Amino acid sequence: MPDADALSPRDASTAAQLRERFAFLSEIVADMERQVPYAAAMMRTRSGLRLNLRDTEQSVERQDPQEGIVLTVSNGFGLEEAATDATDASSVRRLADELVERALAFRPADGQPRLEIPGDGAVSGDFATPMEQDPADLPLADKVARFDALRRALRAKDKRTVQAICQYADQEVQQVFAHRGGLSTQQIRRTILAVIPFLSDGTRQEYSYAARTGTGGLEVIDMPDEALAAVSQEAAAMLGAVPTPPGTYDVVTDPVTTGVIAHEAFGHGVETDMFLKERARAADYLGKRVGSDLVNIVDDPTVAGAYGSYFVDDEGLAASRTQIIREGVLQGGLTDLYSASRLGIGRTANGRRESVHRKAYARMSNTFFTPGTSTQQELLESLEDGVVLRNTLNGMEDPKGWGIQIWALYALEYKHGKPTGRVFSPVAITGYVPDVLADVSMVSGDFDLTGGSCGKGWKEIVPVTSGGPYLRTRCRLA
Amino acid sequence: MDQRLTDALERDRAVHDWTARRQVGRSVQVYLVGNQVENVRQVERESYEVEVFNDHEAEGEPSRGAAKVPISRADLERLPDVLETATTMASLVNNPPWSLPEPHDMPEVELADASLTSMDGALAAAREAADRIRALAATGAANDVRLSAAELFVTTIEEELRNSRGLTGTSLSTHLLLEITLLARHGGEEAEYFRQAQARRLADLRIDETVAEGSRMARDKLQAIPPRTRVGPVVISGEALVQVFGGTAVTDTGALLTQASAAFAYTKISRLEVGHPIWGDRQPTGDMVTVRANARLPYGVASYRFDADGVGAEDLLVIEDGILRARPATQRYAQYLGLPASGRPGMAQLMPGTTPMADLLDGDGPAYHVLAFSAPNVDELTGDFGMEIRIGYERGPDGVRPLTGGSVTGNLFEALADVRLSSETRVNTSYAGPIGIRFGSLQVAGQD
Repeated sequence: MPDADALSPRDASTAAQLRERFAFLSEIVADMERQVPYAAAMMRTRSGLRLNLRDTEQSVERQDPQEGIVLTVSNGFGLEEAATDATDASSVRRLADELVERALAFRPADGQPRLEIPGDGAVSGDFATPMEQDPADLPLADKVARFDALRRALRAKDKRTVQAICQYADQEVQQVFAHRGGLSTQQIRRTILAVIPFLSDGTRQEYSYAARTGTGGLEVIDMPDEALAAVSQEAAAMLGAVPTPPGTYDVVTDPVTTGVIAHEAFGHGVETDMFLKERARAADYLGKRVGSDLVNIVDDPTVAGAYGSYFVDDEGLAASRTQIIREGVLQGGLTDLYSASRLGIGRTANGRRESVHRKAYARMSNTFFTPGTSTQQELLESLEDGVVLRNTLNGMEDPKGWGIQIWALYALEYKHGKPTGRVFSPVAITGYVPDVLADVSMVSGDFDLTGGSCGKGWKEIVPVTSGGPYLRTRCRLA
Repeated sequence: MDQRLTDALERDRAVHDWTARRQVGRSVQVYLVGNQVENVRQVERESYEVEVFNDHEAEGEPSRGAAKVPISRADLERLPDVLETATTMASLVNNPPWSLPEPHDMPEVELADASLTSMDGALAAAREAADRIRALAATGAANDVRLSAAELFVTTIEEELRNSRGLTGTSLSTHLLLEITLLARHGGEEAEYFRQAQARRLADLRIDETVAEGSRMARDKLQAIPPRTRVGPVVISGEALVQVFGGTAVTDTGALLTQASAAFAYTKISRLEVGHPIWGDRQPTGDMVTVRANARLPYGVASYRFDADGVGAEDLLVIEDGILRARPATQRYAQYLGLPASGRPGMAQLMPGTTPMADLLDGDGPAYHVLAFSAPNVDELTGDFGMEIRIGYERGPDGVRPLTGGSVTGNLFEALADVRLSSETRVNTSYAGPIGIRFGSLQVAGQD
């Protein structure tokens, strides 16, 4: 993790301005902590823009600044918070007074245990995502021209293309954290590019997508011509796809699908607020085997350049790597302040908020299977009768039942280690998580992460990545 | 509306048209973990969003560019800079011209629960509802059902809209969100029920009913087995209907209205054509499906008084007896396609059939009955769907057995060619229509 010395002059200047402007937060937190057992404050704002370019229309939007401050206090038994989009000292002081008054008026229910928040280990320092090509340095006109040229190149890949879409977004989030350990600032830049071709053969229309995401500047979204050709070919192949014959298959998952399995199977399932709510079966399996020896899953917000990375979580704790599963054995979970305090376990830096308008939950950052030793070719050649799952779109967690629902755009049929040319689409993947992980029999040495958005249930959206290598396992498909 | 904003928009010569919206939101959020209050939050937010339009030429043709710019409180202090950026953005994008709505009478649509519109009222109601949930869950303890967690958000939004054509509008709405998780235990086994519901009135959350139903489903899930792999009839009801037809957290409208929309038609990604059946060449059997895009449904979560452009809410017949009759069209796409502007689609409202729900379940041999999928997953671009069964039942000569796991797959548009619709109707979160729909033939994948 970089320290203040590693910041660029521009970032150091911004950090200094943030510290000066929001120094009052430290005073407010100190004042509140004279009256309540715990207090903290966070300011967050963001800037950036979104471009959406297609054959028939163009749009450009500024990202919602979502500027605001959230104050957190403990009333001794639970947390209370107040959030406002007013960022001036007098408004925030007034809000703090009201919040403390409300917290002091709290009367616990009979038998409600006290909430003991240990030394929270909050970090103090200034942090910023390094960039090679700052999006702000590329004028908007040049952005439109650059990405529309990319879109036109995609469209030209196949004459059956009826629509080609290019979506670009950049975002800078600035945060200030004030807590008993001091004050810290963070500047996170994220950039994303997606292309989506739609092809029609006159009777049927299909699409595919390719995306580049990361923390950093324009350097993280390079989309070479070969990638455009590949995504166009995928959509073309799907024009001839047939429905997936239902059944249980030997499968090889691409890194996108591998990542969604990690995310849905043992990402959500080890968020420790789910332990506290008794919603996670994983809580009963700590230290126990939940997959084959080849299964290693990690959550790591410190991965350089990954879309889900950050330096400080939304509760002020320094980011660090968490080993979730090591050689098939469940090691531990991902925590937020409240659940770690209630469960009496050590904190990991996974307390994240959608915005100041929402509370922090235990959330993933970059969640992935770590690479193995086989080659991708060895995995493919091992498929006597199976499929390769590609371009997974989404999934849904079931931490209690350990069911899994994943939706892939298509699958390639393989027999005797070679593709038959048959394409199945769409593909619904379901299974029982321990079976899927126990059946992991080969892991490639490849590694790739894909950025996206993650909800808690169906809300509380935060940026994350998931990924890993190619895996060989078994799943139920339809 | 902040006068500084409208004055600045009027003064800026590069702004050829504009729409400005102001929203003042007040929200109370109560979080329960087990029987304890984890967190109580109060959130206040005042936000502005302006859309500026710049007319210019592109490749010799008249062109209109637009830029949407959310504006924070801090931005109000530096409006010239913000608007200069906005007009630059608008001048760089090129679209065929379209015009903004002229002043018109806005419809009256019931959107607010009057008891919730003050912060004190919202806080009291949220605490009371949380207590009610805790009490109801406590009564389930005798049946080995307990509360895992609940979240209740009570939000009031005051909105004001103005545009450069002189259009003005105001609205007051309330929005409630309930997430509840119940756990059932039998021996060493546990199963959960999870539900997210939305409403505009506290009473419409039906907390008592939700807890009772959820308790039953959680208990049944303890006994549930995977379905068998087969192609056959599937009855969908309850939350599963919301997951198939309703909007999601990601999109406001489901696949039916999205595919029917003028925006999809204009961008050439609609599979549907006006005057043609939505299921293509398939021969329909059973009930013919009629769907309205209803933005005027009283207290509907997708209802509104006016949309982001200022178009008044409509109740539009979109699909009649399986034939696409009209495309929901926002101001811009209505003009592009020469259609009347009907605004953002409201709730997908399916018209009922004539068969009682009980007959849908018990008639015509064995059927699977799905009450909840794990997650909504209907591809809006293709209509393909594949969803895991969270809780369902197999109904046949041997009785009723609970199901969980496995998946139901198909294509929504093709599947609607073979349905029977219940005669009873209900509004449930973002779905309004029959309480049950029997699909004649869907692929179920489970035990081989």
